[in-house]
Amino acid sequence: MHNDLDKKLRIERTLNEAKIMIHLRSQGLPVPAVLDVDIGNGIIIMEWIDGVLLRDRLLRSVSSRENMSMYREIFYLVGEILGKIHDLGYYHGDPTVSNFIVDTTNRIWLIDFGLAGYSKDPEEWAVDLHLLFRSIETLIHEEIEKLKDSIIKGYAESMKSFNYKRVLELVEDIRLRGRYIEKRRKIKTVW
Amino acid sequence: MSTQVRVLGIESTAHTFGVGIAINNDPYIVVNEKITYIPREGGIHPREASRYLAANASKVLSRALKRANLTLSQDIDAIAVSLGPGMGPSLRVGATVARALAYYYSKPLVPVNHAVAHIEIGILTTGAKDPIVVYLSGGNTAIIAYLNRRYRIFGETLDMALGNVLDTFARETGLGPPFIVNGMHVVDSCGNKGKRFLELPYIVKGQDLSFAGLLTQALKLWKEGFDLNDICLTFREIAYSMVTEVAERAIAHTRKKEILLVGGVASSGILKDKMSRMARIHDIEVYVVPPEYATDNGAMIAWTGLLAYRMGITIPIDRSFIKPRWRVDEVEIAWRN
Repeated sequence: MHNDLDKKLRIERTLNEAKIMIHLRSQGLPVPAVLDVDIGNGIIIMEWIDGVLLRDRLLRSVSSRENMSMYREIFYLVGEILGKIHDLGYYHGDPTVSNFIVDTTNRIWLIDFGLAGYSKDPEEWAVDLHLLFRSIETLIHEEIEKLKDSIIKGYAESMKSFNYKRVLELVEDIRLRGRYIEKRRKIKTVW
Repeated sequence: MSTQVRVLGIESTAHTFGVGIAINNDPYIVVNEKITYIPREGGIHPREASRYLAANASKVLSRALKRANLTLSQDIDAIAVSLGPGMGPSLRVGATVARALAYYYSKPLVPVNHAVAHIEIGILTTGAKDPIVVYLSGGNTAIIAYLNRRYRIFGETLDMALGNVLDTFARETGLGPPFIVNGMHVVDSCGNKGKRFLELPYIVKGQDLSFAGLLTQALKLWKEGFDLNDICLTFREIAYSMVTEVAERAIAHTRKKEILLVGGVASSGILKDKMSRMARIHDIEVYVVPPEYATDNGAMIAWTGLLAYRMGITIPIDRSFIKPRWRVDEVEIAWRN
């Protein structure tokens, strides 16, 4: 990557990530505690979470052909965390299952806030849900709808400041922006 | 398998009419002939493109058969055609030719998805096994990976495609057409002369990309009188870095060990360099489809048609409708597991 661009992105994202993590942690969200920040080198030293990435746990279950319905509770918690973040006016920017950690006590943690931001635009919240849903769809292929339902239930529980149903409508809108979506042609749009 | 299978493939989704012939053993691709419509000015007008393709279709077809020294009636087992995605008028040209050949010579007709064909020819020609596919062309920008009998889309552009953005910028600023000079995009070579890095939007949303704002803002700087070389440099650095970032995210998410660049923009040396640097960090391989098979071509349709035909996938002529919006993840990939 071009040096100037690299430097700019590193500084912006490191600063952003540290600030947002500190704020979310102070609000009681399950985010690792920030211990030290080196902006120039793009380094954040944070609390160690003893656990596995949700993605790895899902993959293990997929390869050993376990029933995915045991994940409903975990995904409820995932939805709840995302809802709380949105409720505070933030978005994560990349909340895929690779960025959630399940710790040894089955608590769920959220990491990697490099693309996160502060916004009251429900579009950003919808992008988060869209990315989360798609990260599940690209890893597993059964019980997807039920797991999404669990996420939505948890999300609805914690998203108080804005109608979560409106966010879900926007998720559908975002999906329709992808290439070659047949349904888009059937509704009136500017595209 | 000892018996020889030969499939003739027809590509006609945008501005290229291509005919290729694939066989089920080395060298797999026997012939790959094509013509491409180049507009005198402006972008591709679908009607003008389709007229050009229709006027040249028979020429390309006979050239391919002649070069391969094969006859349709004796030597070809099936006719494959890209039924989508693409521009309706262009798709109809290819579909009409394919249907006519299939009917006249009583050959089975095999439907092929254009995006799947870009992936399959990339896998065939590079030897990649299970890659994260970065599909970049004039009409598409997508990060794709195989999972459970489908090529699934991990990320894609939410507005314009990378190739379209590069070409539009070149056209508006007078750098092109032609857009490719000595194997390099004119925006890439113009950027090589740039010195100063400017301020332009870098928009990555998780695994998705947005290029429209980058184009608008770059053109705005140009109108304000900024140095074109500097704009080109910034523009291409941001555009390619965005693509590299989402590819890296897909690698991190799936832990796959290979990246495969396919489609018309895949040949960019600057993009390959960025991908290779990223790949070194993750200790993975980068493969790039050879230029002949990067842009739209008939060989990729023939090869994918052959894979499908061997799994018994054919379509009756009266059901062989074109599908201008046929998403890659709608196709069941019966030949991989």
